[in-house]
Amino acid sequence: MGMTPVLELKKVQRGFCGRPVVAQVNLSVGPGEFVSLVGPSGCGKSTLLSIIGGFTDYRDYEGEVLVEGRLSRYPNWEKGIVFQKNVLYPWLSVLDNIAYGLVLRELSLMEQIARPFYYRKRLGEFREKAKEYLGRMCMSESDGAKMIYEISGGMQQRVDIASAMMLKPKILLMDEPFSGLDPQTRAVLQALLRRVQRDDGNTILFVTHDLQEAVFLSTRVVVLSQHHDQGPGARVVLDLPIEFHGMADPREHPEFQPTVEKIRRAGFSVDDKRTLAAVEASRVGHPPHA
Amino acid sequence: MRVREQFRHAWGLWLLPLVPFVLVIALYAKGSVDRHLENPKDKMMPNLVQLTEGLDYILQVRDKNGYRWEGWNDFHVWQIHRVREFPEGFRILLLEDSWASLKRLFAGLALSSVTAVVVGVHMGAFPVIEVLMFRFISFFSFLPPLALLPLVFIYLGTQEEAKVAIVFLGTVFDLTQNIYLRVLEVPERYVFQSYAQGASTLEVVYKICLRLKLPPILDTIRLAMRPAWVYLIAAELIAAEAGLGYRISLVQRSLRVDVILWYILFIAVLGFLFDVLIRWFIKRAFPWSKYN
Repeated sequence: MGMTPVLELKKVQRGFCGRPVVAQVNLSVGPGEFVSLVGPSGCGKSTLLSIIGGFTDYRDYEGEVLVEGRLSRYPNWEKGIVFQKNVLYPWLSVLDNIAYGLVLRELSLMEQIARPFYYRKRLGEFREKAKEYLGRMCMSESDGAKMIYEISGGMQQRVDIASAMMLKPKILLMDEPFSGLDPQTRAVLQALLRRVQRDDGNTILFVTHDLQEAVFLSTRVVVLSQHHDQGPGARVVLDLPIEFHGMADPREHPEFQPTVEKIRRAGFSVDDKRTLAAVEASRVGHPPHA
Repeated sequence: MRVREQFRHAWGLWLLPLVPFVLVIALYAKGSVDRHLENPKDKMMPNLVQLTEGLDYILQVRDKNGYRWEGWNDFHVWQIHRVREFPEGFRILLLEDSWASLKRLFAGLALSSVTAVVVGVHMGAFPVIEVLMFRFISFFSFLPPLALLPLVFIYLGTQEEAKVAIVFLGTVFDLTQNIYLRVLEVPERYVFQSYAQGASTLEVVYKICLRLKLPPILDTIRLAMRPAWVYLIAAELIAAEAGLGYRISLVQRSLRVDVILWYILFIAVLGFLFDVLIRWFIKRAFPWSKYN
């Protein structure tokens, strides 16, 4: 008997104009797993993520999305999300942005308006908690006092990830969170994300089109593709657990060679210096310029 | 989108905005001089001396009974006795008129802004309200408010309510549509993420969408001041007891173009001042708005 999976997809299918885009996807993500959903662009990754997040109306797709065994059709705090473009509240400081998730979750609108002192008190607690996550994402207290528009894009993404992680969602969905960043910042953020995820044991479903990133970050890589011989629509064509975390270059590892071959045959490139850079950054224990 | 930024710091650039003003004044002066050469008593395009007479008219002081006070002529008496005796409850014509007009303008604009924000935000956020209101709003926004003037005067009389109602009717439909569009512009990811952070629907609408779009909404209200002025002046031209538009229609009967010109200028200055004020307020209160 296995543990209840944190996230389970049962025959999820969605089509546009009668043509299935995502066909019969079954996926189960266990607690503490870091699953990367990889696939070429346009293969339905984001469609699938939108279904999982509850952003697609449940009448528009078939199949079931279960979170800890319970049907989950609507967006709620159990399914956290980080988008490619960050979603930050520009009228708040960095620290308050991280704390604001808790405000939204813990306090109702009436409590925020009608009980100002209680609101103040709780906000203080939330800020203390936010400070902890500020430190874990390698940001200083002075960074926390800055406004959102005063910090760089990479920093903004850190704030976004910190605010999502602090809510401790049952599963954190990440939709290509690093694809708008330059390679260096990206490597730093990857290392940070991996470290925090390891420490907290978050369950993450990470959507990306970058296989290097997927291999470096995750404990399992799931490849979604339209190219298979089971009719139209994207299906899971590859589901690989990865056990060589922390290697200098995972591509060199003999265990990984068959996988490299598989990946090459699927039409991806595995020759990239970025993986190496990211591994280096994580081995030192902290990112180069934080 | 701007092309060629290199002239930004050129010397004397501050003179550039003055050029169109100077051009218009020069054109007017040319016309005025031509007409005065033909007829030295011409009143259609008053010259500088005639304009000072207009200034004298608009700055006239009236006592509480509405009679013109000529105490300025006793200036030598003031100098001897070291007292300035203004009549009790005195009023300056221009200020009295602008106060009367501004009260109506802001009453109408406040009413229409509150209505438009309430309706527009909910239209943008809730599809049911959108379906309920959209056709109604877009249909009535095509109704020219000036065509409603007679009806409004028949139903509401010729008092203040009629003028406020005209300003309200002239601005509320466009304002609602604009605010509705601004709320629709909120990126989907903001809604999704705040839901995923555990926000309730009310929090998403009022604390995220409304908050995020507050600066553009204020900007929309700022732009609505132009039509508001138009409808107010039009309403005042027809029936009023005081107000900038009323004074213009009054002096028009005696061909006082000098007074009309000053009033028109003053309306433009007032509008410009409030425009600058609101823009400054948005910049101060929402320093984040230009980054978002």
